[in-house]
Amino acid sequence: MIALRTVLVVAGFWLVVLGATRVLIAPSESCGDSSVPHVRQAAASAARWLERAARPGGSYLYGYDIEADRVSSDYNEVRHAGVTLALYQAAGRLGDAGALAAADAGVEWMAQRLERRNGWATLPTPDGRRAKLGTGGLAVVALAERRTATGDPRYDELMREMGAFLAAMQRPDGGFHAIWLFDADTVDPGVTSKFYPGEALWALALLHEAFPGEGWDERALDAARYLIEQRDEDEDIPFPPLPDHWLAYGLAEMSEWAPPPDEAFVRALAGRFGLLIRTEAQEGGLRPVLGKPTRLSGGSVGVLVEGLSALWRLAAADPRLADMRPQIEERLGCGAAILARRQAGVAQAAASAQPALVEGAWFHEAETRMDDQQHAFSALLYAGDALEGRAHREPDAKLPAPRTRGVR
Amino acid sequence: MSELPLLLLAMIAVVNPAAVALAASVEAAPALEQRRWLALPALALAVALVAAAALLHERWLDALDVSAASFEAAAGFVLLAAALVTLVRGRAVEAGLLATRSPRGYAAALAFPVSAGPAVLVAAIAYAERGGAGATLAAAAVALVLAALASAAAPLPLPARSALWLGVAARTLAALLAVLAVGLIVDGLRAV
Repeated sequence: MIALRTVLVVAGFWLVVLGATRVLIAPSESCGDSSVPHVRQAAASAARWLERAARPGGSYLYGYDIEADRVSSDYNEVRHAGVTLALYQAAGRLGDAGALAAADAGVEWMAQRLERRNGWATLPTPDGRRAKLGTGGLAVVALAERRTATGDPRYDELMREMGAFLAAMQRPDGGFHAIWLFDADTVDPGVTSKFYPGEALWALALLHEAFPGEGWDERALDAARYLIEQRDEDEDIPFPPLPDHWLAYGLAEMSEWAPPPDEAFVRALAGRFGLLIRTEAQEGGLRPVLGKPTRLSGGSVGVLVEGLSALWRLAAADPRLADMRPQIEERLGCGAAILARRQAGVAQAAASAQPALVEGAWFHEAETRMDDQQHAFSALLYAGDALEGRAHREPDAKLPAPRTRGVR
Repeated sequence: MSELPLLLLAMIAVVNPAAVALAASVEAAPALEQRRWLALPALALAVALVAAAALLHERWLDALDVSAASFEAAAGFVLLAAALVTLVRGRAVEAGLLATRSPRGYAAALAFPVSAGPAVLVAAIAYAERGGAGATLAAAAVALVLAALASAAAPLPLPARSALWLGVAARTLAALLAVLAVGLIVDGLRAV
């Protein structure tokens, strides 16, 4: 007979090892319905929320607390530009004239606040003393998305002016200063940003596609090189690469004319997005142990799915990365399903004080913010594309642009 | 190194025939002659268990509701735990289970968990997912045959010199397993 103690020791050892591994490392992953129609429906619902968030004067509803029934009085010009670009994506891809009108009003709101210096234009902070690189980057992206959706060149000159601000903020090493100080008429040399440079990169890539031959590609290449090779070190990213969805958008945009030189970096970046989506599907694991929330906000999940969707387009365009597509599609299906599952639906909206501010939104600890819907919408739109095998972002048909004057 | 030799090395490291030989050469185990014929049914059972793990790898992942990448990282942690025990003790955690005069008990324990224990089954699922079930099963079968031969050939009492060498071999394979386990963890965390 085997000694009972020996059996108990062996059984106990494996129970502890397998149990701890199951609970902490590999809890069950729950995604949801990742069918394309379901994902498309969730995207459309988010786009409708963004349209309803449009306020008279061109601003947007910033945030809403569903439990307190309180609308936020905060505002942020970077997020304003971000919501505007998402509305233009909705206009182009969903053929949604309402989204186009809301976004055009958002551009007018920005245009009324533009500051021009030294041949460039940008949107300052509300106090008028600073300008953020991120605002300029996303505003250019928004205008480029409008151009793609409508074919209307009315904002071309403004795109160039705002692009010139990005150029003025670029350092010789390809990186960027984050803040312009209007009083000192120069950059703030001590401030950098983790995510603004990626936004600037995407903007520069889109500027090159809109205006080839004007040198925007050289700036985009310098920026991409910096972001791939140096940024994580400069920003002390503890576990590189930084999951920067803007960089992924930029690299995907550049894939036709400048495939990424570092294939390993793209794989590592895709792996980082994938890991974070898997962790989100687990809703537990090590997160509570590390004192982190068990669930991310809609915007935070959205950026992961956006980033991975962009890398899917890159993998579709670059034969060196083609082998990644099936794994990316599997993970995107999960990420999109999580977003769709957590979106507030008709029933939750009906039970709330303000159904129009609830339906189609993502609430995290009872609050939603406009960039939750912005990122989640873009994520669902492009994840749906990947699941359908649609490798181009552009709309199939142009939307007629309203007959109004361009901004000068 | 190409996939198959790496797979073979990995399965030999996780089965650890040297540790199996050490486990089989305890005084309370059946005599050498008896162990020789008990090795065959134990091998058949162990191969069947590993086949069930490797050939049904997708179903295991579905049943557990985990992605291949998460399972790979988890498998790495399981293998690392098994490797560390053998590295520290010089014997697998299951070694004492072969100290039985019961032929059935010995054969069953030799099959599971001494030869095809949780670590081996978890490794079979993880490697089948990345390298294919057929290649994984073939590699595991070779490792299990080596383990069966080791259990059948280990003399009793084990000469001190043989015990020393088997201990060194068991720890060396455990160290290799630890390295492979860390590789699995890293690959699992980096995978999409």
